[in-house]
Amino acid sequence: MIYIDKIKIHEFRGIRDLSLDLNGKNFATCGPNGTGKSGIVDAIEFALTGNISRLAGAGTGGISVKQHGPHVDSRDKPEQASVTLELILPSLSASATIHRTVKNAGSPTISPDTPEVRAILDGAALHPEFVLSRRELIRYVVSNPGERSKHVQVLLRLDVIEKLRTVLQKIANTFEREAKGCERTKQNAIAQLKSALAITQFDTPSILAAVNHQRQVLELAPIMTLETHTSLKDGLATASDGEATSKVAKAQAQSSLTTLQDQLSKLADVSFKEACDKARAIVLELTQDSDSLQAISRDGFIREALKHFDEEHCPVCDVAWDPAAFRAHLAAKLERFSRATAKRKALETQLNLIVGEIATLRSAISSVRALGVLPRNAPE
Amino acid sequence: MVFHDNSAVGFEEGKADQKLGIVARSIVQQFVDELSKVDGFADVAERLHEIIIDQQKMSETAIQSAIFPDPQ
Repeated sequence: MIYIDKIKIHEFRGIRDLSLDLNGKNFATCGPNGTGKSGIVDAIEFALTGNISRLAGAGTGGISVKQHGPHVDSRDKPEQASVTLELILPSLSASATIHRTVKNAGSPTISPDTPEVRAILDGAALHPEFVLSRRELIRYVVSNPGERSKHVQVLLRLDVIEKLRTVLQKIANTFEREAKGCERTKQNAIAQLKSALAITQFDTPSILAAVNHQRQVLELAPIMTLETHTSLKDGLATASDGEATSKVAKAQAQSSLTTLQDQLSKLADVSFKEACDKARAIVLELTQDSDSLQAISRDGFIREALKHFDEEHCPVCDVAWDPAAFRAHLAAKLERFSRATAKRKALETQLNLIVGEIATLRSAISSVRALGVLPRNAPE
Repeated sequence: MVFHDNSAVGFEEGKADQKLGIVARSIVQQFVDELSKVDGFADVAERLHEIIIDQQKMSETAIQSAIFPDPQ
């Protein structure tokens, strides 16, 4: 707060020489037009700020403080146009004087010229509302009560705060919109990662455990820490390393891989192993019994002889035979071979089972190989 | 408070100085001080103080760069 004790105005605006003793009290001036009422207000503003706001800014044409501040009779003598304010400064419990001429409007003489006094005067210069126009006052008086806060803001030059608020709100809105899009992208990425890694918890330990499990299958070193720049595929040779890329139908690939997996499971199953063991046992038994081996070979031969018998002669030695006697003779031989024949049939059954499974496995491998996911040098 | 008549030289309605007056400066200062107390916003508050109060810049670009200094 600054109180004005005295004002001395010399050759300034329409005033030749004027001294007022205000004693720090409120005051009002009245008089006919052109008698210098506004000049007193201009003098106070000029003394405190070095400027006369109504002579500067837009709409004032070529009017300037330097040319139009001095009295019209001293227009060419700006050094004579001066204002002196004797001030009471309650916050410092002191008084001070500021003297300013139009010629050196930017360099007032302050007494005592202390930082404390200058700080108070600088603060006054930053209070634009200490000079209010008649129009500003009338607009405030006649405004609706609901709009008075807006007018007070204008009087206090707070529209800059409104502009600042608008800018901050605009920035906030822009980034809020972007944040929503980023959040959706993030959630999609999390869902895809959880699905790809088959995990339910989205946290570092779960991710690393799932990733390292798959990296172990691929014989890659485990990842110990998960940073923003960590690549889960680190160390994995990709198509960009020289391999040509080809698209794989996912459904077909899944079906082929499932079939291969099922077939490999069958081969690891106990029933397949039993079939192999049975076949091996029969083969071992047959190889240790030479009569049985001979019987198996002759069994086929005799059956062929029966097939080619012409009802008169033996198809092998052309000896004439009674048909009934010939068939009875060979049937007796076959009867002797029946045990060995049964073993051969049992072996055939087991081998058919084994060969069938292996043929199915080969087919499944071929399907997977067609996808291009097996190494090129993988065995057929 | 001192009143004066500016009808002789005209008055531009709504015209305000872009410089921060002492009231506006006080409000912005209070805002920045409160912002600096929010966890993680001390740096932003410091940059806003420099841009708005020290440099008196209030453009969207300047303020946005103060809040988000990282170009990404």
